[in-house]
Amino acid sequence: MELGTEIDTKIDSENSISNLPVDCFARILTFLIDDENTLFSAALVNRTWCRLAIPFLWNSFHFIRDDREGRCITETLIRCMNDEERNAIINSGLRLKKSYPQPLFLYTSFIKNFDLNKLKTVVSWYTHNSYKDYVARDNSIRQNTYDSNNINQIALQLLTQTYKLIFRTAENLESFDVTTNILSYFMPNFTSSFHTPSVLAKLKKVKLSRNDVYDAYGKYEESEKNLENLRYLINALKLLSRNIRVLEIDTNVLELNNIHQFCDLLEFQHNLKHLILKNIGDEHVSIIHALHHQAKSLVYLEFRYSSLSIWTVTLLKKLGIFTRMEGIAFMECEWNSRHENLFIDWWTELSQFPTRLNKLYFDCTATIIDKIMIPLIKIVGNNLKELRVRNDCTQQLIEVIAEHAKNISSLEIWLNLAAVAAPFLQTITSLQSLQLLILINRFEPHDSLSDDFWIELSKTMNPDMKFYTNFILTPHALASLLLNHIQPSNQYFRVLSWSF
Amino acid sequence: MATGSTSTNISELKKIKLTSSEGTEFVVDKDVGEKSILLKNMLEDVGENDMAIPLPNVTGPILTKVIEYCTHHRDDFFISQDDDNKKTSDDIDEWDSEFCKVDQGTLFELILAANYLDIKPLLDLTCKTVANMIKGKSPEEIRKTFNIANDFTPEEEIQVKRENEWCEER
Repeated sequence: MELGTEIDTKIDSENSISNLPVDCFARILTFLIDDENTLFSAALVNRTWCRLAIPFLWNSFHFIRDDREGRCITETLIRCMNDEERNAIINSGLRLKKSYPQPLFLYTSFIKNFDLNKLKTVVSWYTHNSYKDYVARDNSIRQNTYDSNNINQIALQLLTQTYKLIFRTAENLESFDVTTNILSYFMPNFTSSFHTPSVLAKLKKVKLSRNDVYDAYGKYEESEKNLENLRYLINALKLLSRNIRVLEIDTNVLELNNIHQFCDLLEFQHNLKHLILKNIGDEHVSIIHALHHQAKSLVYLEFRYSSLSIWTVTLLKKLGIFTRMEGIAFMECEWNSRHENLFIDWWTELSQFPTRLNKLYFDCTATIIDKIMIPLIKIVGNNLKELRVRNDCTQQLIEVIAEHAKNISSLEIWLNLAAVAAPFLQTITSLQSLQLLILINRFEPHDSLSDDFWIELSKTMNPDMKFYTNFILTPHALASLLLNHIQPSNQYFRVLSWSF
Repeated sequence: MATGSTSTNISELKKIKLTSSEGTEFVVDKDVGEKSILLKNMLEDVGENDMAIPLPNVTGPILTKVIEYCTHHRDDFFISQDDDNKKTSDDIDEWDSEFCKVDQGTLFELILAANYLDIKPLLDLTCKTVANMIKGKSPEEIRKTFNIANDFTPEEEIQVKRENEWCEER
C-alpha cells in the first residue's frame, strides 16, 4: 500500500499501541498538537504512525520561525502544486526542476489554521533570501541568474499560486487570518475558485486585520482597491459562512459601507460566540447597536486598543449587552476618565440580574479598578473563573478577589504594590493558574517580594499549577518553589530571572 | 473536571449489574455506572431492570479499574471538552497519575474500554498518559518504548524527512 493512502483501522497483536483504533490514536496525538518536534518523531516511527501524525503536523503554519524553515516548507508546497500552478511559477522566471517528485501526502489538505500573511512572509524568505543558497547546495536544480527587479515578480507569482493551491486543496480549513495588504494577492484566486464556497462554509474562526500603512500625517489609510476587496470578502463571508464561532476585526479596516456590511455579517452568524473588536471608536456606533440587535449568540466580547468614550459606554450600558455575556475583555483600551460618574453606575444593572460572567480581562487604570472592577468582582463573586488585571493592581482589589471570588481558577495580575498585596494572595486557594507580574521599567528594590512570601505562597499552590512570574527571585525563594511544592513534570512553571 | 455537589440523592443509591467478557458479574451504584454515557443511555432506554448489562468488550480486571475510576470521580461533574480548546497533557492530578501507573497492555485496554463505554474523562486521561510517554522522544526511542517495527523503505523515510524537515529539531 502507498504511504499516502488511507489507513487500516488496526493491526498487529493485542495489548499493543498498534492495536488501538485510529480515532483513539488520533486522540492521543491531539495532546501533542503544539509539540512539533515530537510529532515529527512520531511521523518517522513507521508507516502507520506517519499517516496519523502528518495531519497534526500540518494543522497550521505557526511553527515557522526562520528562513530555513520557510525554505523547507515552500519546497514542499511546490511539490503539492499541480502542473498549472507550477507552470505559472516557472513562467514568472523561477527555475524549478523539470520533474518534481510527487509528495507522499497532499500536505495542504491537512491545514486547519491558515495565516495568509505568514505565508506571504514565508514565500518572501524563500525567494529573496534563501533560494540562491539552496541552489548552490543542490546541483540538481539549475542555477538561475536572478535580476533583483524581477524577484518581486517571482515572489508575487509564487504567493498567488500557493494561495490557489491552498484554497483548492485545504478541505479541512477552519480558520484564517488575513490582513488587508494581501487581499489583492489572494482575492483573484479566491473569487474565481470553484472551491471557495465550501472553504467559507466550514470556517469557524476569521481574523481580519489591517496593513500598517500610514500617510504623511500619520493617519491610517487603506487603498480603494483594498477596501473594495474587503467589501467583497465580508459579503462572501456573510453569504457563505454559517459556522463562524470566533471573529476578530480591526475596525480601522472598515469605512462606512464596510461597517454596514460588517453589521449584516453579524446578523447571519448564528453560531458566533466570541467577538474581538479592535480600535472601536465613536464612528463605529452602528457596530455596538449590531452587537445588541444582530449578534444574539455572542457570549464573549473583547475590546482591544479601543477608545471607550462616554458615548460608547452609555450605549453599551443602555443596550444591556453585558447582561448576557459570559466573558468580557478590555485590553489596552483608553478610558475617558472625565466621566467617572458614569462608570460608577455602569455595572449596577448587572447586580439586578443573575450574571453569567465568569471571565474578566481588564487592562486599566487605578480609577477603573476602583469604579468598575471592584464592584464587578463583588457582583460576579463565586462565578468568577478567570481574571486578568494589568496595570496598577491595588491591595483592595486583591482583598476583594480573596473575599468574593472563592472559585477563581486563573489569575494574572500586575503587582505594583507587591509587598502589601502579597498576604491576601496566599488566601486564594482555588487557583490552578497564576501569573504574578511587575512592570520591569518601574521596578524598584522595595517592590521585590520577600523569600518568606514565596515560601508561604508555594505552600498554598497546587503542585500542577501553571505559574509564571517576572519578579526577580533569590536562589532561596526559587529553590523553595521548585523543591518543596512544584511537581518536576510541571512544564508551566516559569520564572523570568533570579539573582545571585 | 469540576467537583459537583452531592452523591447522596436517591438515584445514586440504586444498583446496576454489569457482566464482563468472561461472564463475571459486577454490582455497582447506578450513579457510578452512569459515568459511562453508553450505560446511561442503555439504562434510559431499558428502564428499571434487574438484568445484568453484558459488556463483551471489557475484561473483568479492566472493568474493575474502570469502576475504581468512576467511583473515585463519582461526585465530579464530567464536562465534555470543547474541541476548539487547545488540549494539553500536563494537567493530570495526583490520584489520576497514580491510577495510570499500570503496564502498557492495561493502559491500552483502558483506552479501548473508555472508548467503548464512552467515558470521555477516562479516555482523555489515558490518552494523555500515552502522549506523555511519547513526548520528547526520538523515533527510535518511541519504537523501543512501544515495541514497534520500522516498516518504512529507506526511500520513504528520506522523503518523509525531506518533506517535513521544516519542523525538525536543531
